[in-house]
Amino acid sequence: MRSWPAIPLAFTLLAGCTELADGLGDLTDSTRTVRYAISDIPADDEREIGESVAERILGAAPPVDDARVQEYVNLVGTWVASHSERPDIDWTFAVIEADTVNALATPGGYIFISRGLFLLLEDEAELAAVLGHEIAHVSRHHHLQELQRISRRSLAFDLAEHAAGDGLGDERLRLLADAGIELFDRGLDREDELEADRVGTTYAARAGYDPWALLSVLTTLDAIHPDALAIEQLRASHPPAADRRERLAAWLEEAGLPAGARPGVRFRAMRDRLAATD
Amino acid sequence: MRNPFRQPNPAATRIGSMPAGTRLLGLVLLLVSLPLLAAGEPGVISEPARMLEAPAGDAGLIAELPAGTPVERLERRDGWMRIATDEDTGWVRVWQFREAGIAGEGGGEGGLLSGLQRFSRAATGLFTREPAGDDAGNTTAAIGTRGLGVGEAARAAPDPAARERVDGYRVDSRAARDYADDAGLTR
Repeated sequence: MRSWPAIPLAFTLLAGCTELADGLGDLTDSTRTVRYAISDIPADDEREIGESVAERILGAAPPVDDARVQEYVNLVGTWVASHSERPDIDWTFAVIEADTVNALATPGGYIFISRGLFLLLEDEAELAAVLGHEIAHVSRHHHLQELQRISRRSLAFDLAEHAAGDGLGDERLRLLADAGIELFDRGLDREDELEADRVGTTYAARAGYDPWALLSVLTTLDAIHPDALAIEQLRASHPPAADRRERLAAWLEEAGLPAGARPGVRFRAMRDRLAATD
Repeated sequence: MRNPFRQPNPAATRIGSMPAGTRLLGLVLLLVSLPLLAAGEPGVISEPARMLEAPAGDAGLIAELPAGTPVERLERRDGWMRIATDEDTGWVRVWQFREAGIAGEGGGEGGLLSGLQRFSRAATGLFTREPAGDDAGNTTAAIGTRGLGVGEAARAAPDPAARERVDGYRVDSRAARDYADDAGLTR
């Protein structure tokens, strides 16, 4: 049985690195409440926002019509999410019909990966890495924090001041869903993306996967022609893959995480199913 | 209900319970196949890589390997991979090695994306663009291709029925743990 105290111990020994210090305290104790910039958004409201955003995404890119593939991505994603600081929310995963290279997360735990990205991946560890990155955005409330900033600045109401139990109401929900959708094109703060790389990798490592797998994914993304339509949105909304890889590699070297598994058989079976319906 | 994703358990037959003749045959076959077992797993270099003498950034350089170089994987050590080319063995970064033969070509100009193009015929046109100055017709490959490009989600009508369908795909944590256990991820 894997001895998990070894990993947080490794983190706490690396005191000099400010990037590691950021959020590390949270990772050393998965039962302790994560420090949120906003900690008082009711879970029901968060879920309601997530459902609205998810419905818009699915309106543009419906779920792939293959129950086995969808069950597979949920089994892997739920396992990785169970190692986050929010194992008990309704994590919901789906592969969506888009040839572009995207993975998206909504507040409340909807995680989508495009067919285009799924087909690019090599093994289950890479899938776990991608899902882990998105799970980290949710567990760290990155989108919700940004929506709160937007609500205060542009929507004439403060998400954080909203009382629990009232429900957000249709109009506010619509405004928040609009803003949430726009975020996918505009992107989150660069530091949020880099944090999601580190934190997501940590979740995947806790789940037994090779923590170096995200670097392989970033190498693949970096190999795509920069003008390719397939990654137009990804490039617009994320730091360059090469930068992300450099930062993550440096962090991994310091963290000294063990190699972990890279299961491939069942992943490739699912990828073949997707490819057959391409 | 039997888990449809369960991978077959490696043979659990105890060698000691086999007849002596079977064990001898097994030993002979093992010895004969040892040279094959010692051969590395085939792969390809995924990007221009420096092959080093040791798994450390400041180790001595053995060779510069271009993307697409066919290699054999010998050993993995955390973020490093020991590989063999036709001429040498040395260490590269783990993401600079890719398995060949399953997902992608073994080498040559196809590189990383040839595997993709084989798997995603519909998306082929989305992954390359001719340099500026070439014919503009390449953008027409994107027309009619499924995308989630900039602005598309903003223009789409919400689909609550699809969201309910997706909700139905959720699994509980117990099922996820069992599935992870099948792949040895809980050890």
